[in-house]
Amino acid sequence: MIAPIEKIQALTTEDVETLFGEDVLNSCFEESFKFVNNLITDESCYEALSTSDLESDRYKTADKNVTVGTTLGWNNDDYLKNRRILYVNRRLSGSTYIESSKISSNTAATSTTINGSIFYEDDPYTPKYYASNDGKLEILPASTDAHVFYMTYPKFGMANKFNETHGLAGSNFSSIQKEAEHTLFYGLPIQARELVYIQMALNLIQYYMSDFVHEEEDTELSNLLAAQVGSLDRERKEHLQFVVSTFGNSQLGEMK
Amino acid sequence: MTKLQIKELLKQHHPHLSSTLSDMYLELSADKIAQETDIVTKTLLIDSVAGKRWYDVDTTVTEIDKVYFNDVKIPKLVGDPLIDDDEFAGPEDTADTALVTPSPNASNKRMWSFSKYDSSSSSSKTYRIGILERVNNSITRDGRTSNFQSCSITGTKNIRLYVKSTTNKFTSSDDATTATVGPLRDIPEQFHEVILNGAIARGYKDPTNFKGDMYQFFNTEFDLGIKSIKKHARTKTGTGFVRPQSF
Repeated sequence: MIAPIEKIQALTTEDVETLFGEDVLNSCFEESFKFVNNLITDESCYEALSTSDLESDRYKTADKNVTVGTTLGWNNDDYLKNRRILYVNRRLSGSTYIESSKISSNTAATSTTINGSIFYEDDPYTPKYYASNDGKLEILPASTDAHVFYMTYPKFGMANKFNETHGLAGSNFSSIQKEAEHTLFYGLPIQARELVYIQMALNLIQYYMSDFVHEEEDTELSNLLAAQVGSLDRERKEHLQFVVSTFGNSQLGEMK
Repeated sequence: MTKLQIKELLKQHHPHLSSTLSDMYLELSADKIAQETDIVTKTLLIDSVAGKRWYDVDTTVTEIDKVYFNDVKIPKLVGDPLIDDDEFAGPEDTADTALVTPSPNASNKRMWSFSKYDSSSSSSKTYRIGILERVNNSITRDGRTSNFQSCSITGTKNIRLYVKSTTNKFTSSDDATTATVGPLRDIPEQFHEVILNGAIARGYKDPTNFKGDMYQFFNTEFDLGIKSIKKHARTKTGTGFVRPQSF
């Protein structure tokens, strides 16, 4: 176990905090996380969440509307902000839920409500969901009872209702201790963490090169950094290949 | 197979179909089976009205096999009677004088007639069945005499039609976990896969998911399935025939 900032220091330089500051570090992590997270399937995300120490209400919404507190119902405005939807399961009856498929927002807002249209949706056995223009999630046929499995992307300093999975409203990347390292990676398989760090290190070095090296025309430093970038990039390619082949394809043999 | 199983299998080939479109493809496939094999049969009941000759039949009817009036089988009249009862609503002949309602007589010899002419051009296409009674010199008009008058008996559900028809349609209230909803109830369960093959083939004709080779494969499967259903209808549900043998 290692503190995330120490890992980045090891991959870049000891002075990374003073060179870039909290905002750049935070932003680089967020972007790297999103990049890696979008390589993996919903199934892998869900497995990573459900096998973590997270309470299920931090990756599952069961209420349609929430008017109090810091959480949102799936039909509240801005629910989809900073959120990756994994599964939408509409209740059929009793404790039976049926998985919904995503459909085009524009088709959903127009043709699906016309009874004679080929896009009309009214079958509770093949429910659909879509994003409405208020950032709400809508389910067809209309329902009040559904389970939405999601993950929010890590966002330092953002209000917790858009950051429920990681809960980073009061944190910075550099303040995460080694015991809490796993809390940054909710929603990612443990084997994909290294790729996030390498991607983040590469982003930081590129920042550094464009901000300092190119402006000062220091070719010696530039060559040194280019060698480091080359080394990191090779490592990144290896990890990328591993992550995509292991978590980027459905392992269930199903067609969706 | 249940409706749910069929739709799940269809979804494996065509995941982007709306629920309406997947239902429609299954219904089209089932209707083609019905049309080609005559396997979908049912009976309908109509109330007779004294003086009314023509009765609209359900839009699902494709062919009338036989007709019973008051539980008595009545023959089909070949050809048209000389004088018809003008019972068209669209266009309606408002200047027409309707034929006089005949005196009721349960013993009159009755016949049925089939008309492909719709009673109203503004409604959906329906065929009509005519109930006529043969009574000598019963109607005279414009110096001509006809032996065929309209039905003289008023009765409730006393005309039973044995028909071939299209299949039932799915509804949103169907219990999809059963195999007895919509067209699935009309076609024997062992042939439900044929319906599925037809729907899969139709899906591959869509411009959004066009695959010529897959279309060919599933269409061939569909055609083979139709042949099996025809054979089934001939041998299992028909009376068959004795093949002549020479000794």
